[in-house]
Amino acid sequence: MNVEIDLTARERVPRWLSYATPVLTVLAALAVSAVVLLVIDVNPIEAYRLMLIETPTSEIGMADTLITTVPLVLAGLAVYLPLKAGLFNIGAEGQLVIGALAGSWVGLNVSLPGVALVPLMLLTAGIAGGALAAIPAWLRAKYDVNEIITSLLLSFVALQILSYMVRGPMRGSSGNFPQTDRFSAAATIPELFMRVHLGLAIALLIVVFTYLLMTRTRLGFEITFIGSNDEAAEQAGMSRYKVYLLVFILGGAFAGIGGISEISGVQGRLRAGFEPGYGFTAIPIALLGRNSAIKVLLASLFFALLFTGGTNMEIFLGIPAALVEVIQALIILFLITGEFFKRYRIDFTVERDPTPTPSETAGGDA
Amino acid sequence: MAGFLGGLLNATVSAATVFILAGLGELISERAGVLNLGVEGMMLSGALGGFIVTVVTGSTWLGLFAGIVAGMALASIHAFLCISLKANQVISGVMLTLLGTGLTTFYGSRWVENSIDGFSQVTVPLVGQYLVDIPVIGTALFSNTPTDYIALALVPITWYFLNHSNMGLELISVGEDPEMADTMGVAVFKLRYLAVIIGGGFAGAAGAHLSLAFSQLWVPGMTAGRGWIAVALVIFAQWTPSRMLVGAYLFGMLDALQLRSQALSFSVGADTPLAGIINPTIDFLMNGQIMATYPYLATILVLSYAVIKTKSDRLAVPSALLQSYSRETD
Amino acid sequence: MPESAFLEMQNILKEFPGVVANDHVDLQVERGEIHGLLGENGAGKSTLMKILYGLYSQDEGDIYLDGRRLELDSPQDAIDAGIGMVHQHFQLIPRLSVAQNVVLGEREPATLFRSDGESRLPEAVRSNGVVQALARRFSLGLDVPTQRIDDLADQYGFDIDATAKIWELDVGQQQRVEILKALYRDADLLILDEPTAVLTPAEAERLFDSLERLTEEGLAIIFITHKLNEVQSVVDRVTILREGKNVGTATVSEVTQADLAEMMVGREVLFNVEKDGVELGEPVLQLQNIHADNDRGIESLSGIDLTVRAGEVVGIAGVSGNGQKELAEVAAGLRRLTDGSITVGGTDLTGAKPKRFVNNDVSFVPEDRLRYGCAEDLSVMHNAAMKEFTDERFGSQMGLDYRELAAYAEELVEEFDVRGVRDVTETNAGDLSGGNLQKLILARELARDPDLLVANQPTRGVDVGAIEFIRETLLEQRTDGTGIVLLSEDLDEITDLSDRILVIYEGEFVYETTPEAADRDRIGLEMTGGASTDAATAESPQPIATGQDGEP
Repeated sequence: MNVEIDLTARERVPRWLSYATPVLTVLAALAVSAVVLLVIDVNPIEAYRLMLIETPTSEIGMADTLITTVPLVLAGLAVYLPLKAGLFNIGAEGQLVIGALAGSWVGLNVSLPGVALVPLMLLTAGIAGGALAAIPAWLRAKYDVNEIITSLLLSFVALQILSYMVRGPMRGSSGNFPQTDRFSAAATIPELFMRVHLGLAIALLIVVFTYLLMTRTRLGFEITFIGSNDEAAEQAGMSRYKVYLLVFILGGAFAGIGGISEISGVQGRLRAGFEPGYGFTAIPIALLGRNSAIKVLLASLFFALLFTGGTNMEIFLGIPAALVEVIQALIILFLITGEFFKRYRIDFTVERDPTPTPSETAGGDA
Repeated sequence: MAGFLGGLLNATVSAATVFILAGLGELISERAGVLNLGVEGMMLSGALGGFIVTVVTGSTWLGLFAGIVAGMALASIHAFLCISLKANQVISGVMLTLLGTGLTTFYGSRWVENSIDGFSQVTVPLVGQYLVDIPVIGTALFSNTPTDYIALALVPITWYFLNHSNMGLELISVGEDPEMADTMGVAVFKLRYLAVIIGGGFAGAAGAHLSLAFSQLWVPGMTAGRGWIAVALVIFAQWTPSRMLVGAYLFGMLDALQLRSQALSFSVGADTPLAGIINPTIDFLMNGQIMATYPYLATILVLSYAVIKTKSDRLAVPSALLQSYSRETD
Repeated sequence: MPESAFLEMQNILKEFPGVVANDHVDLQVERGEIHGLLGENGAGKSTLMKILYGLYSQDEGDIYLDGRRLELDSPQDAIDAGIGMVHQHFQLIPRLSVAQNVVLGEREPATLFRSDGESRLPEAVRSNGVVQALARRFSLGLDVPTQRIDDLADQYGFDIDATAKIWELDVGQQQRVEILKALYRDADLLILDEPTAVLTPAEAERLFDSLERLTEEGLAIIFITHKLNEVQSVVDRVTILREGKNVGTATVSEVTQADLAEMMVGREVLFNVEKDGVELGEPVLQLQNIHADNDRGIESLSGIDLTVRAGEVVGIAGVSGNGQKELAEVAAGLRRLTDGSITVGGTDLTGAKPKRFVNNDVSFVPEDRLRYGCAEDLSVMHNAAMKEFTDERFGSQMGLDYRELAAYAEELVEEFDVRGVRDVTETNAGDLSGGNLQKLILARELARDPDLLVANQPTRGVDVGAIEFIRETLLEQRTDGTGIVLLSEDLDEITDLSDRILVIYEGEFVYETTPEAADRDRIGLEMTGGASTDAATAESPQPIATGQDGEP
């Protein structure tokens, strides 16, 4: 008897499945994480209630979630936009860091009133992020050098440069810590409410901008088309070169702005290792939200909730924040699995009568 | 200066071992067509797994074994997702790193306090001591931990396996053209699984070397990006074990130099023309953090140079890298 | 017919959704013969051979080789049964050596461990199962195989160095390595899929010599082709397939090329399309002395001159692989020229980007719909507007009005009767059937009211109903004053629609005629290079008047 597993690509994904998949995968990941929690003697229901219900319903929790959303959504868009053009930018981390660095430099070294200084910082950060992103984009567009590898490696270059700057040229006057001086009031992004800074408004504007770009403009049409079939797109007269550079530079600029708004709006000074891998979390965010910029925002909110909820779990239940990272990774791993079941139908067939196979004749046959 | 050089060389050998082990593992996986960006995560789990078992059992060898198993366990997730479920290799790999980092930080925090007797230096038997006494290079060459020697031995073994065994030949064919390999009766899925999991074992061993021999302690996140350097190293070495050996020592020396960069000072005399520019430039280039960017920059340069200068069908990159394979059914 | 042939394929039926690829086909091949398999594209040759090589399994019918019934579930089964196949795209790994490629999958152990031959290891150790299993996995002996490859190469006159890397070899040599791969596995039956498509004439001659030697040794060879002169020069017997059916088997020496051409192309006229007279206008496309390479870098257009006027359909007949694809791409601005010039509607567009061709009102229906014609994963709306989205009516400046786009797409779907569209913004192009997708592409290209339309195989793989619609639409467009370049392997299509017919063979126009004066047999001969070997040389090369009007 022979069990045969037959995979067939689905011709059309049933509508219910495309909505159910993300929900089910998140639930599955939470279920597996529950086992992890049980191992360390934490009631998973209590933990999840704290993380997913109390955090977003308390004022502080909500504010923290919104604050964390800002860099996440901007980095998420930095991955999302190239993804729409069929490219993989896994260097949002570096673009975010380099933006924070360039913006901080302006904030610390240029004296202007806040109305002018903050926009200048944001602009510089955007340019720096865009410039870093332009390298892999150009290498890909011009020479077909794989953008995945180059964007990733440039991230680590950016992280080291940050480390160098805060230890060397930009180190603050107080003490030996690898960090800059505190930003002046003029260099601080103003607060909106409850410590939530103006960066949130900027991020939302950028989400809307990206949404409109993709759904209301010719450029968006070109990006979508090139992302789906670049050969047909070129045949129709669209330019791969232009679009590849554009999506990467725009994405890099968004990430850069995300970086400086986190520094100027939340942390107040630039430190080495100032952020917990937002640029990498951006990859699953873009994957979850790849259908539209709005969904990227929703995915960012969800991950921001995981971050802040994780911090709360740490504070109130003594659960290490590292668990959040585990849960995040699990969600994505399950999401990938879910993708598969969405795309393929699996049939099991049990076959009787195995045809007797001629026994292999061993030995040389010269 | 001799003492400094000797110390640097010693540290280089030990640092290079990390890159050799992790790099060879990644190389095997990539030659079979599967990119695994989870090296950092697999290394961390190897480091922690190895450390815990060593603390509990007191045996570094059991620890090393545990490290290998931990790396393999994580790699099998990647293998299942990418080979059976045809998931995107990039995303799965990055998530594997997140998972490995998270899990080891989570479970590893309470092991930080522990101390172990890690692998100690072993001298080459018989004539060993005389060789070790050779100034500067003596200890670097002839007095190292067992893992250093194992890593060194694995380079020719991997080379031999890939180029002079049927399994190696089949593995390469799977990474070049899985469809054709399937036609010729090669077990595509089995070999890809094998390559990814063996690759994970190598990464686990690299991590175990880090915690059991290199630093002899456990700190969350102790790989400090070395897994990513290993990924870069495979590209730098253009997918060949022998070049990887060279690259690993180069990157290993950079790694060792970073820790010692403060002890270094090169400068030209103040009266030399352009001294005002040259000296700060040297300082900048010799800075530890700046030196840490060299492996990445060098890799980007090598990759770009290779892609631009080589005809596309002669590139060193395995032709089917990143491509999932599904048997065509009619 | 002999009682039982070496290879017997009986009553093979293979259906794909909507198509019967092999309709109860029989095939008999004898030892020691080169058996031609002749037919147009889509006639079912490839499907039949894929069944024989275990890549597809037949729905009905049986295969016997040397009297044994074969169950072929995979190529491995076919190889074990003694069947070898040389594909058009070589199944070789460029970075590995000849010997490595040949032995891949055979698990040749190191010489030390071989059970045959000499070795210092005692027999007992060598024949031990565990030792064998390990040696077959963890060692690789190329000495003995290399010797055997050299012997085989000598035997059949191949100049192959077994230690050379594949990338160092030229195409002809690579093909011989493919043949060696089969011989190394003791193949008794060799299938060659259009083996000359990648070869120069001189290399083809060499191949033919080698094949004769192989048959002298008792091998059976199936030679897939659609070139009649090849059939004439190497093939002993030939089986002709048309539309999935076996039209007949003939001994080549007993039939003329004209007979074969008739069997292959068929006489029945499927559709009668009424054609109005149209006054020809200004030239819309002028190609002068066009030279271009194919994707492999081999010249596949060698001095093409062509002028197409407004309101004229120029049909380009030929069997595939003679430069049609490249010619179509050149005319649409997608392929770089190595020499020559292109003028579209009076504007010199030599070396211009595709965008300028689009802007100069050139429309293009590519041969490979899924690769170049559409984005499968995008909606019908996206695909319908692939070229027109830059038009002002869809928004000013940067903006794009998707509602207008959707309305436009609905209009096209309506007007061109594209079926299977639930909602233009939801249904993806990839969800449409071949015929409906082609209608959509045609709709997109024609709604722009182009001055020039380049249509490559517009009705290939399209159902009968759609074919008629597409042909009528093309003629309507001609009446509206569009100049049309129609490339097709379907001779009926060419003769029904064209005002002028050009036959392309090996990158050059070899014959020109009009539908009224057309002699189908003659066209068939010219398409297959048949005339060039005998008749044409006597008649002197046909002067190709392409209607150039005093251009320097």
